[in-house]
Amino acid sequence: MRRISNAVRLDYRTGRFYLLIYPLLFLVGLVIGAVAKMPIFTVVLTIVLAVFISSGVFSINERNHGERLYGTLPLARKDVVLGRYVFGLTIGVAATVIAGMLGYLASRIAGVSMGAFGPKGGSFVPGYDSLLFWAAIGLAFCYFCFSMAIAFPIYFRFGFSKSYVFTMLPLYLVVLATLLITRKLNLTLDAGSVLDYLAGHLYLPPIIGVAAGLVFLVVSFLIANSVYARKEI
Amino acid sequence: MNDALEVVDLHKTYPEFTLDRVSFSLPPGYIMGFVGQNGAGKTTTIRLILNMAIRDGGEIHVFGRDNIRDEMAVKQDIGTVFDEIFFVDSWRVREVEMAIRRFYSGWDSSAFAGYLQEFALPLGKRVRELSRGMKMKLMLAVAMSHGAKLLVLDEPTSGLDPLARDELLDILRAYIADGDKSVFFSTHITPDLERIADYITLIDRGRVLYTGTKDGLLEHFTLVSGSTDDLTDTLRAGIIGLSLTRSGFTGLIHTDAVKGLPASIHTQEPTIDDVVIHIGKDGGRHETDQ
Repeated sequence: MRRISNAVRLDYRTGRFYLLIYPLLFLVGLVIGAVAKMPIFTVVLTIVLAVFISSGVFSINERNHGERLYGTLPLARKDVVLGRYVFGLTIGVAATVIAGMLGYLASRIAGVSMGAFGPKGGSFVPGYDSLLFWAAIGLAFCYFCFSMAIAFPIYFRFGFSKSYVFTMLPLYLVVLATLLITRKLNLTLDAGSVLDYLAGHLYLPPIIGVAAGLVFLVVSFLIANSVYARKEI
Repeated sequence: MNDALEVVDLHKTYPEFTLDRVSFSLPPGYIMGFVGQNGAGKTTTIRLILNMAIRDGGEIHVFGRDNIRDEMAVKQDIGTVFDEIFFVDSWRVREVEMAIRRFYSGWDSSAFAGYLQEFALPLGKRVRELSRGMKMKLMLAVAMSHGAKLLVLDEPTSGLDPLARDELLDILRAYIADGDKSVFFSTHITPDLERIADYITLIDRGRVLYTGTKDGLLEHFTLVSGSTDDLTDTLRAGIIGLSLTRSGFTGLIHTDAVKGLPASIHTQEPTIDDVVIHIGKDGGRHETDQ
């Protein structure tokens, strides 16, 4: 346990530059969300930036021969991988909380509801503004975990510079999947009853998002651990 | 008493390179030079010692402990310096300690501060602002501040100016002065080894050609030179790394083959450089007895 907490601290010290600089861009998301009267945009941008922040430690390590440092320290390879996932997850949780707070702030600044969607501050799905916001929070966390789950094993295997394009791969996959789903399925079918149920249980969308995200991470960790155990550093 | 480092039949195969049953041992209190040309297998061996590469066979023991089974304990005992610094370049010198100290149960902050002072390393400078010599000293300061009993150095003097190299060798000499600590030092700059190494392991194309005392290596081989008229077929077959010019030849032979050479052939004790150069030229055609 001590070794893993040491690995997380080392990741923090390594990636601190990203942790200090990138969050400033959250404010850009806040401004755009408020001006466009779309607080959910603030949430989405915050999470997309958080994905970059979590990858920063790989980038910095690669530039500074960091794998050699980790290789010489009294750390098992499993500790390195687990430490990196804990570090990434901590960023994800913090970013989701910050995203929620900034989204709320954007809604207050713009004088619209948190689920407002559009230049006039109108609703995307009238009557379900709160649900939309909480669903966005749950999906944002889930998206963060999904991105990490895809990118981290690839970074562990190939290094950052050879595979950083994969940072955006999850976003492309999500967009593609959304397009396919909305084209193939008639979402209006029975959507009303589902939305009503979720609107009455607003805690469910975040819980579903968190649970799905954690499942992604566990599977990803097992893959990354297996990959890194065989890697020549 | 256990050897500081014992490598037995170490084997590792890559598509284009094989480390072939490498064996050597380093007693406590001594410095071993690990010498060979670029690509001979020095860094691969060091990565295997540190379990950064995965061995195909053989064993590695550090103070009697297996380097994989007892990896955490072994790494507490090893201090490492590579040819390139591996600390984040935006860290300040003082931050290096903050990042590293928690990993070592024997970390000694006052020793680290002492080394920084001794090496004139400014606390507030960022790693990227340090000269190559200073970076090397910073890695050494970290390696020596956690009670490591074995220093493993991979080409630490490459790229250093003569003064910085000299300072580094003095630091290493002082480090082993108490008789408990050892240094395993890979390099292709052999004059450094002439000055400080007690033992030499010579590796070429993944195979150990000699391991033993430095004096033993120099006694093991003899440098011969003469006119081309003296170069008989028998002599030619025994010469390692034969160099021919219009006026004559030079090469290395096993010292036990010196007897019986005609008096016209000049013989002299080689330097480590001579040995490495001639063995490198030879292309691995000669077996070298140990």
